Amino acid sequence: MISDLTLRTLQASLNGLDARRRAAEDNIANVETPGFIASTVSFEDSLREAIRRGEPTATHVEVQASTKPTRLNGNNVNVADEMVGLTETALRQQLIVQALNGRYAALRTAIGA
Amino acid sequence: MTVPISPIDPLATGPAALAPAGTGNRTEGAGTAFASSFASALDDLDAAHKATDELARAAATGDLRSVEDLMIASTETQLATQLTVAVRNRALESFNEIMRMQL
Amino acid sequence: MRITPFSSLGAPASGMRVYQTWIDALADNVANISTINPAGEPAFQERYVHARAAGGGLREAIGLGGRGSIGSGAYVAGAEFGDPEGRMVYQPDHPYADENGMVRMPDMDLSTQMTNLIIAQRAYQANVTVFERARDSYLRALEIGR
Repeated sequence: MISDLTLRTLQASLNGLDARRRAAEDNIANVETPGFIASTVSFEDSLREAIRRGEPTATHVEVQASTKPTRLNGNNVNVADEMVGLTETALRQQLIVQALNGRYAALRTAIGA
Repeated sequence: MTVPISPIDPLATGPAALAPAGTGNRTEGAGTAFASSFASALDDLDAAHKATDELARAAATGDLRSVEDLMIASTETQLATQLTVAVRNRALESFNEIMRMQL
Repeated sequence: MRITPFSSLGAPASGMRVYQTWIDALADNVANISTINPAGEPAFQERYVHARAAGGGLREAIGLGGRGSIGSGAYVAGAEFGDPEGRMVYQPDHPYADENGMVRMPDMDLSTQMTNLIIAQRAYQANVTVFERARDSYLRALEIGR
């Protein structure tokens, strides 16, 4: 009855979201660095595929260079976009943590009663 | 979207299921009714867990359409689990009490 | 914006991008308000930003048009450059002056640019507020049942 797949999926997504958060913080810190190209993180497609195969922990978290246009100093970081992304990532992490807590609480009730 | 939960009324089924031995058939009938209603409650709980798990996986891949769906489903599943466990414990307590009485 | 459980953030985020672009264009105009070019060349052309509703907006969403969606926000559909004619100004001492002492300057009005700048800035801030409110309501939703 315990669905390990779900717990491992949630764990894998937290890894991906954490990488995304760190990339966003790095981008924001480098908003004025000449020649700096922003990083983007993608893992959702890999996670979806990994779930289908039944091994969510095999998700590949990929960090790529952003293809957005650069400004005069060669920097392509857009602060507003990064802040918006950071907020969304934080909300999604909250969501996953809540899902995890709910899962653990249900398990605890079934075991500990 | 809400997760269907079958209502269990522990106060109604408990005492009826554990009526004293002298009432014969009626006791057995009530006991079977309790067992089958509890079994179907377990099935419903399992379905609730599966549905919540699916929503949680959708949230992990970013495909979840509505945050409220997952939060509500998760809460309802937790409550259903607690309720089911409480009913089981209550039934177990009453059973033990009966066993002590008959000695 | 890609599909996410937090779709209400999409519209204000797109609004922020649009108004930021407009502010950039206006800043460009203001910086070049007195740019002088030789009479034989075009004047500095005023920058305009074309904003459009993304995904057709509400009208299409309620069935009055083709496919559409609520919450897609806005996007910058393109930029346009104003009149290269500008206006001719008499400045014989300027190195760019032609034989008549005329130079070309952009035909822009500083007060119009500044007024637009204030409008753009207020619109940007309004979008930030909407974004924060949407974020806060999602935070509440994440507490359901806790």
